[in-house]
Amino acid sequence: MAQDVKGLRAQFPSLAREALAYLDNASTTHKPRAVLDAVTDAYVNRCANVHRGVHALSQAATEAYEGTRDEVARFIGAERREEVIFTSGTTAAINLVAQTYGRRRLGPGQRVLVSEMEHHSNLVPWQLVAEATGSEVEKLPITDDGSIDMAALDLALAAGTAIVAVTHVSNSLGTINDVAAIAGRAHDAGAIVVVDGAQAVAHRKVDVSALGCDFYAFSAHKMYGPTGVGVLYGRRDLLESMPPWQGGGDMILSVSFERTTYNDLPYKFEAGTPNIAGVIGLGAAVRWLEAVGFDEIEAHEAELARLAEGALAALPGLRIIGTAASKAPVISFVLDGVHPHDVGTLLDGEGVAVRTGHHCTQPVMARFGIDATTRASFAVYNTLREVERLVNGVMRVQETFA
Amino acid sequence: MSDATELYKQAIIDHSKHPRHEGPLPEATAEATTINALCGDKVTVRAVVDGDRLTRLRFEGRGCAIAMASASMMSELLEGSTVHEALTVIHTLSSVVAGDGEGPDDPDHPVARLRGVRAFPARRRCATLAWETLEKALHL
Repeated sequence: MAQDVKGLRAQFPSLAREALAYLDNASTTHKPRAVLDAVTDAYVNRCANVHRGVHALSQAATEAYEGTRDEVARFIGAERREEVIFTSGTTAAINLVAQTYGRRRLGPGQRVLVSEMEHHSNLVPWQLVAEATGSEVEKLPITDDGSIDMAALDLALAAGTAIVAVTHVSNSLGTINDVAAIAGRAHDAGAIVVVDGAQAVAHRKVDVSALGCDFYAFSAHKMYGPTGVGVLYGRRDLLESMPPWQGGGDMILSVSFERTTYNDLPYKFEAGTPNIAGVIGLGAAVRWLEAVGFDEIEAHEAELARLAEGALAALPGLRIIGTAASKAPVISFVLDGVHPHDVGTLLDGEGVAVRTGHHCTQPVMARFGIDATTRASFAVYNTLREVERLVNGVMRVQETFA
Repeated sequence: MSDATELYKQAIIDHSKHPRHEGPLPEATAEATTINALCGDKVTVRAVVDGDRLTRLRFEGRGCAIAMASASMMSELLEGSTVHEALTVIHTLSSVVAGDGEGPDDPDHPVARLRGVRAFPARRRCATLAWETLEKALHL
């Protein structure tokens, strides 16, 4: 491998504790020094509000903040910078779409098609808007290997669907969905597509134009950036047609008690002082990812996941949940006779951090008839040694319970 | 051996693999169910209360080994005790798991065996789930 993975790891101060094998990257990734430095620099050298002051410091903050919008637009293949809205994260981005586009578009008898593998954050916002508008949320089922049932998609689209809500990559199964195919079929049927990209952006090159999706949401903290900042990409004509979600400063052109006019895109959807340092940190994360390169990232992570999944699947009494052909480096599994929370505590005792539980995807657990899974999820800084520690740790759990 | 493995080996594995007092209790006079929303663990505790005594105690549930083993140990310990004695032990257990007090000196006492769960704050509720459910049943 051309890139020195050890060299990458040294860029993460929080990973200096060699004792910890951090395999909970689908929850949040650790942050490279470039991101930490960018956030610190934002507070040390650019500490001012954006879009407000005529003074130099405010100008510096605004340039860094708006510069990140350009970088993010390029990073995800958006045609225009104003199609990039900064939010507090994926959840806020999806709620924004549901409460603006959703409320306008949906009415009694209309349907939102939500895949069975969605994180609760791409299901509950639609239930809320359905309740408010008298519309319905319908389940788009998944198959036994954890893939979208494309025949069911066609049926639901033919029966009339206004909005399709689907994840790009499943956080609990690892499945990579064919968003381009889903969007193509949805558009042919007159539906729009809202994509949860939270689990995709750190692992593969995302091009929203090539995917053909209408909205795409993701969080900085799952792609080596800071917490509390995310992005909503939306097609400009759709964003233009949507009412504002939250009112406040920065989202207006003029305000009087008689009449308020709203600002242009993207500011119409960025009420209040944004997470300026967080956005600047996101910019650093984008640059860091591009410097590492997605070819390198995909190759390394695929190798880790292949070895881990192979070794785990070979253990008696272990079942992998989510066996789609195309998967991100996420491995969910259950062990005969051992509850995932016990697996998690015992692995933690071995210095291996994994996630256990329903992963905010209770419908997925119900689909597979389980309460919870143990999930190992990899990032580019993980090592083969950590895969070994995971597998050895799981074997010791089995010995403890034998 | 890690602290976690030690806790499981000393306190949990035996009871989770061979639960005592597990099953239905149709003649129960007191019953309560608790669901731990965080992890989905669910435990139902049923008791026959005759005068001031718990003459029979059974549990049913689904969840992690700590929650199930703890329910088993509790049922074994408290069947036959008075309501007052049971409530006293329940309160001792919650204090010990919360880190307030050491509880019984006898290392084989269930409260002492569950003491180790203190080291795992995310799992403390698993250890107390059945006990708080019994308390709820006795107050109903």
